[in-house]
Amino acid sequence: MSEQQKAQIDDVDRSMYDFKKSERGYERVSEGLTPDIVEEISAKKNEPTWMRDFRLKSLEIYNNMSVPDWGPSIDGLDMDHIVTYVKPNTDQKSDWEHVPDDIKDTFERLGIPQAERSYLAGVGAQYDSELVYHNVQDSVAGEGVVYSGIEEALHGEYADLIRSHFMHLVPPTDHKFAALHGAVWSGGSFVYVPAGVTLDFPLQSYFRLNAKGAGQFEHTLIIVEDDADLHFIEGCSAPKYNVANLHAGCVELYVGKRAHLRYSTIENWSKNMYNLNTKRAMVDEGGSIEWVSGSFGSHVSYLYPMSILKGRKSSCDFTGITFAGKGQDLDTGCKVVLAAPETSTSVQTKSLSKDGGVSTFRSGVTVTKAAEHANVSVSCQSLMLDDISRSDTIPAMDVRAEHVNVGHEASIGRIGDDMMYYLMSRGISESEASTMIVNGFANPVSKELPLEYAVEMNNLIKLEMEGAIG
Amino acid sequence: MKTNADTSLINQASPRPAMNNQISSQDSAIPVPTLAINRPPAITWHHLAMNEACVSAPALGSAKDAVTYKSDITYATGDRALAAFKEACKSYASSTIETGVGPDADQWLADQATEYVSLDVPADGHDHQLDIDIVPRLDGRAIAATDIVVEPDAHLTVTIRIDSPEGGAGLTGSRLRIVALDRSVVEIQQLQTLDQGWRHIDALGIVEADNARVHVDQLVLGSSEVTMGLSSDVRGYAARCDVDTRYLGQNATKIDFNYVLHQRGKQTQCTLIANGILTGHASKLLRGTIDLVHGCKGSVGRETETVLLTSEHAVNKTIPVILCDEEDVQGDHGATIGHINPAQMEYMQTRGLSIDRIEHLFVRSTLDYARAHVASDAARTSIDALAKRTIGESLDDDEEVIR
Repeated sequence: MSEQQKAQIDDVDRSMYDFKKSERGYERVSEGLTPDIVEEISAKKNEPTWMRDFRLKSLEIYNNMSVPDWGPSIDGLDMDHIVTYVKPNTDQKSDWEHVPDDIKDTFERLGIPQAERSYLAGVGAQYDSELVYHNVQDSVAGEGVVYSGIEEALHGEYADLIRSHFMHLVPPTDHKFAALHGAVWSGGSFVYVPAGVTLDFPLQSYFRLNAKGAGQFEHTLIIVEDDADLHFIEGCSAPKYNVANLHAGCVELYVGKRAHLRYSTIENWSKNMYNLNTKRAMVDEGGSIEWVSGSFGSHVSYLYPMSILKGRKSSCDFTGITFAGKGQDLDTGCKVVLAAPETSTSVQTKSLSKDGGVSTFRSGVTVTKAAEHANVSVSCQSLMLDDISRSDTIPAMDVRAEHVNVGHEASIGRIGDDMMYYLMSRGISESEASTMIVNGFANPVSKELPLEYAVEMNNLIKLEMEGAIG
Repeated sequence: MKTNADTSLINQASPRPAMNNQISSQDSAIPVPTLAINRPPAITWHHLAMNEACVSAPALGSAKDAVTYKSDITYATGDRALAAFKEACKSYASSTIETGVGPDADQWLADQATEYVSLDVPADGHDHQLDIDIVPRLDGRAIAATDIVVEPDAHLTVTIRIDSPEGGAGLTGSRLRIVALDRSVVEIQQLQTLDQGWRHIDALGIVEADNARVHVDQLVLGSSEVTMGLSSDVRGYAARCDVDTRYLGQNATKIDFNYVLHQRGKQTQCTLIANGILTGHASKLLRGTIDLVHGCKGSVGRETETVLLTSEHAVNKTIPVILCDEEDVQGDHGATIGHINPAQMEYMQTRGLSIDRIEHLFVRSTLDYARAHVASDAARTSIDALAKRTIGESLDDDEEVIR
């Protein structure tokens, strides 16, 4: 393993993500957003008519919606200068040896092929607007599990399934950037886990945005049938440019009866990225969705994975951590709608703000009239690491069912002097002590991550903490 | 606290605020103006319908003699009183006094006030008292606007009683602005026992100087529509503001709170406690904001809420916000929202109590608490009358609770 490699992470720093590759030979549509561009993207993909019409309708919706007035400013995002589609000079491969060298090198530096060999049941890798690699273990495919590019699925035997699920959970009317996604989406994965199948190892998709001034709009659709079980991991990164990049992906998850889906994300976009992503899950009777979410990158983030608990005794667990550093305004959290009896939700989040970063925890928990005997527990803790940063919590609760229990707690504070004193009195330096305390603060989240990601997260925290004291 | 003079402390008198000429009811033949009210400092998703309230602001005739003041201090009324308050405030504060309801609603209350009083509370070793009764006997509008400067080291207790006769309809309101100067102590006790035909709008603005103490105790028990805003500018060193609100929502009552505690001074302490019971088709929305402003080192802000829902039709909305722009602070929030524990319910039912009777007991317990909590005979009478109207019982007799 070369020193530049990240896998089994023992030496992570941001330079591992901050490298750029030439775009020579790549296809780019014009900057901006017009019906012609939308039609051009659709034509390149040889899409069915319904999808082209869907894109154009989404564009119309986008043009008629206003930008949110309740979150961080996105004034620096000028859609007239965003390229919505960049195709690398390769088609999708199922063997890393056939992937062009510069792209393969990118993913090797990010540790993806190594991770695939070590512990994954399948991998999808997207580079700019298109998937460049997709593969699933034969044994997993043999159980009927489908893991492919979503565009590939749109043309195959699952076309009707895609049509009946695509942007049904997140309709383009949901918000302006859902509409944008509907208009220019490209790439992403489709996963189908048949009833009763349990995957012993996770599937992973990795999204890399290399192109300067471009947007990435991948769509992930996962259907986990009754009594099935899946762990899906999503990773993303980009090199830093001095112009805005945009990520407006969309994730739709369908969890069947008594099924279980864990969706883990480590988001480490570069700090010129506007991350306006939408994720949503619908959970059937007795099913459960677990979100594990780490937000470290981006200039601005709007990210609130939503769970709709529509089946009796369905549940949602959300565990998240957000670390906002210099130049970052990260507005993250979750939404949960409890819409059936005996549903339950547990939300646990941690956020850290440092070096002028702004971290906002925002949540919305709605207990509908149908959700009698529901249980909700929300806990959000924020740590301020200096006095030039900011941390807000904006949790909303709407309770209208009978016999429910809703508990909520939030706290914002700093590293306690007593803890620092204790550690330093035992010979630990001030910066080491603060890093230890922050790692302890983040531990409830990191322990939920796959080992490699937990190590990565701890290293990122360590890196962010350098220079935090004094 | 002596700061640079700034005449903007007092909202300048202006023509009626811009209002939306919307028809508030499909059945209304005449458009009724509406007021956007109770918008918190930080908003969230609009589809949750929590970012502000909208109340109708009809032009009602003034209910005569509905507002009365009683105090051991001479107070001033009318334009000269307002001018005196402005003058007194010039030396003490440097910004507009917010009252939580928002500038338009605040100005509307000021314009519609049926009585205006200004008070300057001296530090003479006495615990001074101001009693405000907003008790209309006839249908119409009864709004008290009151401005108070509490001088350094002075002590003041303000009681506000808002009550109505059974039946009738109208709008009551209170707009109270208090500047609590260094080391002053202010106690505000508010009781609202309106009948269902009445709506109430309440605006409370507080500015606190060094080491000032303000305690707000509210009992919100009646009315069909209650809209309450509170904003406290805790700008002085080691100043403290505590807000304790207890409410009861019955029938189809709508209760809307917007409470904002800005902690600007170093070593300030704020608490916001809200406890309530919602029965029938009642609904409540509490926006509570602890705002730890940059520079408020050593400050602590805490917010707790307990809501008991006794009906499947009751709706509770809560948005407890902590805004933190300072490192060396502590902000906490805790909320418990739920129904009567099934085991408790079963226990009571095995002892012959019907579900209606159990709900009735919880309502009565709130009224009993209120009755034990208030200081005046008039307040107790108001609570007794409300109890008679709502649960058909008098609180002062120990008639059988378990029939």
